[in-house]
Amino acid sequence: MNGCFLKNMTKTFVVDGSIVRALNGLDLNVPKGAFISIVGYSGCGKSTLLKTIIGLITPDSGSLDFVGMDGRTGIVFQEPRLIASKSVKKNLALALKHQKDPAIKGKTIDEVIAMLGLTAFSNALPWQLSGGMAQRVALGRALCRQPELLLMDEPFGALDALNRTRLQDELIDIYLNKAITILFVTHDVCEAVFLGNRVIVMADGQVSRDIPVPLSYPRDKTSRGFISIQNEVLEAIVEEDKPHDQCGQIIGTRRKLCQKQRLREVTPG
Amino acid sequence: MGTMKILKARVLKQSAFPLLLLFIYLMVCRYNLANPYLIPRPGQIGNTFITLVAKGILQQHIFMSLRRVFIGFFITLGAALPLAVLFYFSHRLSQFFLGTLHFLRCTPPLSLVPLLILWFGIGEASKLAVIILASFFPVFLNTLSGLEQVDSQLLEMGDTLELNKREKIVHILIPEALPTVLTGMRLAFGYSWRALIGAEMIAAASGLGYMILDAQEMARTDKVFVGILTIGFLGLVFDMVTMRIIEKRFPWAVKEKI
Repeated sequence: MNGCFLKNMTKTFVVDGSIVRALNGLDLNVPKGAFISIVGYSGCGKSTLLKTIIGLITPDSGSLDFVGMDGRTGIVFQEPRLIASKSVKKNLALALKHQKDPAIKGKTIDEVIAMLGLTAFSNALPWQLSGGMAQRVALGRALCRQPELLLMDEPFGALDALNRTRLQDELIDIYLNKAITILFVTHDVCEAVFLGNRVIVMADGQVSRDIPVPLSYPRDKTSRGFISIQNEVLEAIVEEDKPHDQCGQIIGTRRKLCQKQRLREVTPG
Repeated sequence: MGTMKILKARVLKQSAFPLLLLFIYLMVCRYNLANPYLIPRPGQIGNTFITLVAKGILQQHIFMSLRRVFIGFFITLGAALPLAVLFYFSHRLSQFFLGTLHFLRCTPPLSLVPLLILWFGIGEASKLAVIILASFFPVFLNTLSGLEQVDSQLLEMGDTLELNKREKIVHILIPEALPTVLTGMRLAFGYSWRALIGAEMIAAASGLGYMILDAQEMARTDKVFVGILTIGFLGLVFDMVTMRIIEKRFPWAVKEKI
């Protein structure tokens, strides 16, 4: 099977003198062409996982293999991380530094800009863009690299509901048209089920549950099947979210919120 | 509200106080409320200005002062900018020298004038030294702080795009630090202008500072007023021109910091 395979991945950090295991012998198979959503409570290792795959963090042990994939990756963070002094076009051009042919470079940038509906803003500076547009540029920058594996770390987390919904739809279009593999980290269970064809629940630096989402696109968030999978994911998160001495109170509050969200979603009307 | 209306409202607000001062001054002169020796009449100041311009004396002093400021300022840029970059990259070097630099920063350049005259004489070197001392720290410290304040997330993004160190400096560090650097340069120019006038009042045979001191010794308050107004006016013009260039060339910098 082609894809990206992580085996026994470990990474520890020292935070205020205590050791934190961000990745704790994690095994994960990401088949080529999959769209995997990753959820889990804060600090369970989701972002560390993405940063390890893209090479920002060196793991303490474990292996990362790309089979049938060239390992080209792109990443989108929660913040657009655009260079304030560069126009949209120039921000995208940064991602194409290996492309020496200016004609191909220009064509790739123009195509990505058109695909994301940013043509009118191609020469705009980041401060002239709305939050949603800036995040589109960040997505465009990742897509310019024509990645086989696109990593997304809560990319829509800071957007308003309208922009978030639009970008979710656009991302599904990109996924379906580009046959790209996506690893999508989110805190929003509804978003995870809406986008992914698998939802991975992470806890304590490991994969605790792998829940398939056998629903076709576009998905109806109010359908019985959707709500049922969403509840299953919520249950899995709450199950893994075992309180311990230091943060019992926070986790307790979060659990109540999860239950509240679940109740709201299963209650008709 | 349109841009022109906003601009007009701003100009009106900013000129209200100077106009009030001018009005008070005119009233003081009109009703002879002050000794003309202490506060010369507008006509007297105007005549002196015209005479100084006609004889080329004022232009000569302006030229000398500006020449000193620009030379000193550019020497400062040549030294402070690379040094700040060096300190940014070398933590050890910055630890070693920062204490000394902070000591020097707290020392007013004019307090060093007696020493500078002893070391460099009353020629151009001592005045350039004063300008460099006055403008060095705003440029150096703002550049260093601008570099240090560059968002580490942007540098991380540079890593994900496989940018090498040089590319990260050119595409991320310098552009992101530029607003703070420009603020430092603008401050530095103002500081060096003020310090120069002080230095010229202590040891010089030309320049606007010298002209004012000379006029005071000759009991020519009208000439002192011409000198002061010229200094203030030139300082304002340079600040406005610098600001306009920054706004035009670096609109994002104005939006972000200045």
